[in-house]
Amino acid sequence: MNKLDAITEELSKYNATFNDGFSSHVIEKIQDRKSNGSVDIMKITQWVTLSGIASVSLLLLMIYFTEGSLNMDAVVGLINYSPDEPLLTSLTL
Amino acid sequence: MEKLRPDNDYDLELIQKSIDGDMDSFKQIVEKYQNKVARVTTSMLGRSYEAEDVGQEVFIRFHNSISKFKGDSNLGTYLVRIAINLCLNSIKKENKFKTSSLSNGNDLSLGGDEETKNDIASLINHALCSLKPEFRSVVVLRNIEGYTTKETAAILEIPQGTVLSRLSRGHDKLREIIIKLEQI
Repeated sequence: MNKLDAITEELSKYNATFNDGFSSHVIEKIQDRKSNGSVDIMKITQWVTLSGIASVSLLLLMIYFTEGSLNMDAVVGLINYSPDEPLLTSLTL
Repeated sequence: MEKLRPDNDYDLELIQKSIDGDMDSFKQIVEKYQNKVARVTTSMLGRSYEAEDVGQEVFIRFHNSISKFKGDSNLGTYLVRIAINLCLNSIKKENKFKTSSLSNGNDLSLGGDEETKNDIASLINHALCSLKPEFRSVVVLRNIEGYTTKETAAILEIPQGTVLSRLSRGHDKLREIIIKLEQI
């Protein structure tokens, strides 16, 4: 048997175990991290996204109820604006 | 090395129970796969406490994203993939592809009686940790875990040709290192 065969055979027999109580340590760590409220980036991202969507929906709903429409003029607040209004105002002063 | 279907079904059952908050089921998963993860982390990082820490982190990460596991791949393979990635990150972070971790006196318990006291096993352990991480990961997956070239390529997300060339170079390096170690 050449050296490489000996190496590969030895590698295939490679074995290792962790210390006793490994699984209990893992469970303890998971529970510790849960109770410490570790920062979960995914949850924060989800929370920020959902609250953003909720705010925009609420804003659109308010615009619809106050202006009666959701067109661009209503959204930017120009729905009741007449272009001649400033001229009329200055003439009547 | 795909497991038999019933084994996968049992794993999926344990996973579902774990998602529902049953920690005993998750503990069963840990107990079932801890030796597989131990083989990967100790062969990648040496028989050190760091290997055990990384092993714990493998299961913690898996627990944190357990609902994302759909059972498309074998659970063992999925855990090995996490283990390999964490080991490579750890090596990168500490820039350690030396033999130091093997001789730091923090050895873990070893499987297979006095096997590691055997000269060749000990030499191979040293040689393995002297390999560069990219070669080591391929040798670990192909020769220790027994994955095929295709599976190894999928786990490491590299082409099959790269697996074959790294394996060949890894074997050459192992042979060189062992010859050198034998001369000491």
